[in-house]
Amino acid sequence: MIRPPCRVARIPRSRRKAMTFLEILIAVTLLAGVMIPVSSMLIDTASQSAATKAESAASSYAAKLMNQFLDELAFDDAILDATGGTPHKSEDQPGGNPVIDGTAIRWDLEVAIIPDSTIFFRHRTVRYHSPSAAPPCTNGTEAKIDAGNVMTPAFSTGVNIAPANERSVADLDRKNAGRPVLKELRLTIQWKSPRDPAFEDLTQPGPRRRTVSLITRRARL
Amino acid sequence: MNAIRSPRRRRAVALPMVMGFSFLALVFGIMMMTVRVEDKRQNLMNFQQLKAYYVAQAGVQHALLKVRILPNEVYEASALARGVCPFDPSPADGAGGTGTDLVLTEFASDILGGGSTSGVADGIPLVLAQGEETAWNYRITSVRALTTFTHTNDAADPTARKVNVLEFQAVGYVEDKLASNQRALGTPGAPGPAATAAEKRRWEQVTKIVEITRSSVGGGS
Repeated sequence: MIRPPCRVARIPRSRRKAMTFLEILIAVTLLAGVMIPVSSMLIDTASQSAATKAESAASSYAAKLMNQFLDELAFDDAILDATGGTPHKSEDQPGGNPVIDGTAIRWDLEVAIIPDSTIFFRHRTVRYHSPSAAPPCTNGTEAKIDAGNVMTPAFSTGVNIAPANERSVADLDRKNAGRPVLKELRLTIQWKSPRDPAFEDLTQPGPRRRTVSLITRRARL
Repeated sequence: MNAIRSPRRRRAVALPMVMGFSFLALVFGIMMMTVRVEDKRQNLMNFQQLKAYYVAQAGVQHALLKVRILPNEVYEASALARGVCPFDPSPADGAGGTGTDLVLTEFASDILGGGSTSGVADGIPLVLAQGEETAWNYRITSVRALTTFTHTNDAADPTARKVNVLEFQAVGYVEDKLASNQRALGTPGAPGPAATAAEKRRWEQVTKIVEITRSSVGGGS
């Protein structure tokens, strides 16, 4: 039996020398150089999307809590009591720290009362025409606005607008004397996925820090 | 067949293939990194907007408190802004003249809260703010009287009352960490200048429409 001639044998020796090996070596090196950072990027992106999901859960929960504090709970609700430096904590609430879509959340709420004597309101009194005196208003337009639909000079120059007055809420709102009318709320929310370390470690500055604070005010309305 | 057999064509097939693949992998990696950076930026922006939103809500609560405490003053200011007679029991559609919003604008001008770093000269400082939060603030940027009239009692509706519908726009400002960081980062070896006050600010606007109804004490003209 005659064996077919080997293909390699037909390549001149000068061109055959280690070319394939060198090519593979370069190719593998190049591939490794590209694939190592790309695969690490892939792993990073996967963990990043988990972090993004946890952030979204935390952000939605923070908004839900703030809306409750602003719109749903009574002004004098126990959770909105001034804390005097000791915040209300989620772990002290019924149900403890909530877990939303695998993200454990912990929150602290600080409440401070804004003293009535420090809240000042500026206001003026407008001296309209006397309701019982002529001339009457026509079709609801103020009598002191002339036929050309322009305010009379006396009105606009301040003759009929009393000077500005500034008084504190303690003076203006005597009905609520001794009761707070404005509170400041500061909600600090922390979150972690099941693989993260304990909450205490997440408060330290650095890439693992997952905490955010929101501030608002609630008025007695 | 000739191409395969030709030793010239057979050389360097793997290398271009690997280079092509590496190029694609690199493009893919860069795309993923861009998406990741954008995702992170978006998340940070969401948190900043959430902070600004609740600071703006503090402004709304502050405004509502003033409206509750000074209902007659805001009613008079609204009537003046719309040019309507505050005593008219049944103003015609489109009633009113060219009023002045001087008093109404002034009424909202002292509803301010927060620090003074962004031009807010007075108002109530945020008492629970810490660190960078001391620069957060809110203000009422616009107030409009939408409806102002006195409803006298009649058979169909026996309750005499003053009706006032107001639209407040409150804006909350917080520090934009992203802008600050980007400016501070600069180029390698040459840190950028500190971000300006305007660049540091992220703001969110809240619009609140409120109807104030008070028992009426006035007569008609």
